[in-house]
Amino acid sequence: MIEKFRELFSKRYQLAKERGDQGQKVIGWVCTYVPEEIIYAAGMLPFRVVGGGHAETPLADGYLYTNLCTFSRNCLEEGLSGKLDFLYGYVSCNTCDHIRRLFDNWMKFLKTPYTKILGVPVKVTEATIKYFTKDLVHFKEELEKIEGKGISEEALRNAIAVYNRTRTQLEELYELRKADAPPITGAEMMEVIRAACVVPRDRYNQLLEDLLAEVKTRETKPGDDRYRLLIYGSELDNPDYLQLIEDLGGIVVFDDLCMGSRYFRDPVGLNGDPLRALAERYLTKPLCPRMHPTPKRVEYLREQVKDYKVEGVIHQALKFCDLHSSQFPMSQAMFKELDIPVLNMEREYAMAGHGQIKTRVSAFYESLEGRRVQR
Amino acid sequence: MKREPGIERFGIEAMVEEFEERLAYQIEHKREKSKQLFTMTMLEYYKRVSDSRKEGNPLAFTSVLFWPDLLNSMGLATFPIDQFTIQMIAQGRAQEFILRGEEFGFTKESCSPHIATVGLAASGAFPKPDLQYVTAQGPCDSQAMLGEALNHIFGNPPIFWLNMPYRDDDETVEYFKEELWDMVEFTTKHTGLKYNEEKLREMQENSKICEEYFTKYHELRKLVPSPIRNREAFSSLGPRTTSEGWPILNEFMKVQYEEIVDRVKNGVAAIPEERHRLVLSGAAPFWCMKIFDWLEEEFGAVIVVDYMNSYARDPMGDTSDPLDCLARKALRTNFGGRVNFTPSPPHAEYMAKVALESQADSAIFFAHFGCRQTCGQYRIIVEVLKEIAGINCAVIDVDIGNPAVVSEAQMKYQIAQYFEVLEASQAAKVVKSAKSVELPKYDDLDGNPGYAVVF
Repeated sequence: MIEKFRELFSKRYQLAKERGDQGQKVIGWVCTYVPEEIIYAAGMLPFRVVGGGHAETPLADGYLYTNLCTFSRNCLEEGLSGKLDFLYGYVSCNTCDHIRRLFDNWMKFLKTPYTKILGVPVKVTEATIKYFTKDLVHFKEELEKIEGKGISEEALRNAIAVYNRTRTQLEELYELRKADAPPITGAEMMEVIRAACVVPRDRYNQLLEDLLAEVKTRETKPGDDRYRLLIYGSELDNPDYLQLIEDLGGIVVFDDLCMGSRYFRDPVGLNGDPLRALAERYLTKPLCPRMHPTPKRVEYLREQVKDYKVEGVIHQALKFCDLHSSQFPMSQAMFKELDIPVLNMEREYAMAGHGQIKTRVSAFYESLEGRRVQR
Repeated sequence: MKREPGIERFGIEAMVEEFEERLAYQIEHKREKSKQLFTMTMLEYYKRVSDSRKEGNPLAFTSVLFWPDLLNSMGLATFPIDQFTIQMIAQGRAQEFILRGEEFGFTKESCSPHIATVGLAASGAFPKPDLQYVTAQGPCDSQAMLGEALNHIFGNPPIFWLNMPYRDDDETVEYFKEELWDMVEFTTKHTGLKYNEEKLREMQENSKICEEYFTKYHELRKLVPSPIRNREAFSSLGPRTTSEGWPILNEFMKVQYEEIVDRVKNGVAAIPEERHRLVLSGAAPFWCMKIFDWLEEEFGAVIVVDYMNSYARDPMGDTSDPLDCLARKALRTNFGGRVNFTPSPPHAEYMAKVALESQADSAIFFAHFGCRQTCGQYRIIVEVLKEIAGINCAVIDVDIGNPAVVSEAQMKYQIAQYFEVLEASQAAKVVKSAKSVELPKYDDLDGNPGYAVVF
């Protein structure tokens, strides 16, 4: 079943292009602050832009300097190499310096007909929710103009219901991970979530329902002694990275990643103005470090450690990621308070340095084992 | 916060002493009035901060590009903490604190002044702030995370996050006024200080005058030959960051402008032989400001357009509603509003048009290792300068605060190569000053190499 999700993701360009050929506009989006529901309600296909996982990005390097993260350079590489020519639109947010400048370069040098950047506020107040709602109103109006027809409130409510269904089901899967012997691994979970970002939603929801039923019936080993891990940090969308960690004897029981829980957590409210409800959800969902203040996020992580009975934490940050890297000391202090060991790893977007990862993770597991023995 | 031994040499009081000494030196050696006023403005500011502590009044940490008018008008002393560090960097005194900041865990790939600020704070150089005000997402992520790190180091004092919106239309101005009002209420809640409309209006009036002088001053750089020296072009940034709205700042701006006008009237150019009119983009190496003197001496290159001063902006408007005036200024007039929160292509286009008007023939983009904000737009700037102004731009690796990343010799080598190629491809025109002037050494002007800096 998981293989199906993997396959759909690997064929994402082909599938999206087919939709485009059939007349459905495909709208690329970057970062989980873009409400896919509005794109869906407009009758378009939301499609998450991620990199191709290239170790080298020869085209993008000519546009984004080498001190920009390899995720943003990988995304631009996909655009410059023509693989994303099927996109009618590219919608981004001012998530961080890298993503904002990626947008600037995309807008200037690529020929995507529609480009849009949402100005996501950095904090949650009544004023910022109201202001972000206005941004979403403009976004909706622009899509209406492109399609030449209005997006009704009913269409928006329907889109919210469809996406909330995904959220509920993914949350159910996450609930199962709280068990002493979790029936689904972190790598599998990431396969499932990244497919959500590119597969047409109605088809995806059906697949997810089938998967949920299958996972619930999986037999789990009594006395599961894998180390229970929480992984958090920068953009990470490669399940193989988690697989490598898990193959050494751990299991990721919770993640705080934008290709993980930060993508789906917290449903959109069903009452009142749907755009206001979307603004509220997208600003209040589990935070990444671009949202302030940090202590709120740190407290959220503290709760997850308890809920998911986490034994060890892995923080991974993309090289040059100021937000995640510089927030690390604050979250690390909290984990220290909880007496939870933390492994801090710097990485590039493309999977590399397997040997080094193995060595460091194995040493980390040894320290976790030592603690088990002491207890 | 435990103060490390000897750290008092790096604190606010030490800065007061230093500016006092500098002023005395400048008066004694009869330095230009504008240079004395620069020092007086900075001295007045540091005294404001220092006295606030001594008198038991609250002190707020802010940051560069956080204009102090609103809080100062309420009677709250503001200390843009990274501006302080940049000053230290310019004086060559921050290196050890970069290591200290990395020790704390602030990422070593971040902007070096921010790392050093964390190091200074962790070493006990600063008093604990009563309040913190941080802008995000401008000027950059690194600065926002500096705010978080300082909050952590100082035990979570009350912090206000000023959300700097991406757009700057009328709808956004209205929203931003609400943000500013929230800031007022936050301040009142934590200090008891009240909104003072009259005082804010007065400060906005002052700010308007300051902005007018700023605009007129930089217009003079379009003259051929330019009457403004490279380092002089940056000299208002520090005073404006610390003292926007205060009368002494306007006095400095006025005198600085008038001195340049006098130069023009007397036919005196910035340098004796102007060979190149340079566009400067990216972030300047604050630790090596003398590289700008070297550009003048070695290549006759005068900066006529630059990232920090040449940006599209609206003139300041009506001050009858001073909060509205401030909101508009923050979004549409000042540096932070235009350059850091809006898409880069229009900014690059504006800069290229000014370059064309200014008859610029050369361009350098300083690619600062710790800055995504500037480096992420290097190609756009390079392309647009070529398209609009026909100028080829050299991209030079730098770090604005850490000489260990790129040395002076490395920077100079890359720049020299650029000019060599440029001069081979063009018959360099020499524009002589009407009067022969001796190029003064900056370091001798005021007894301190950190003079002309910048924030």
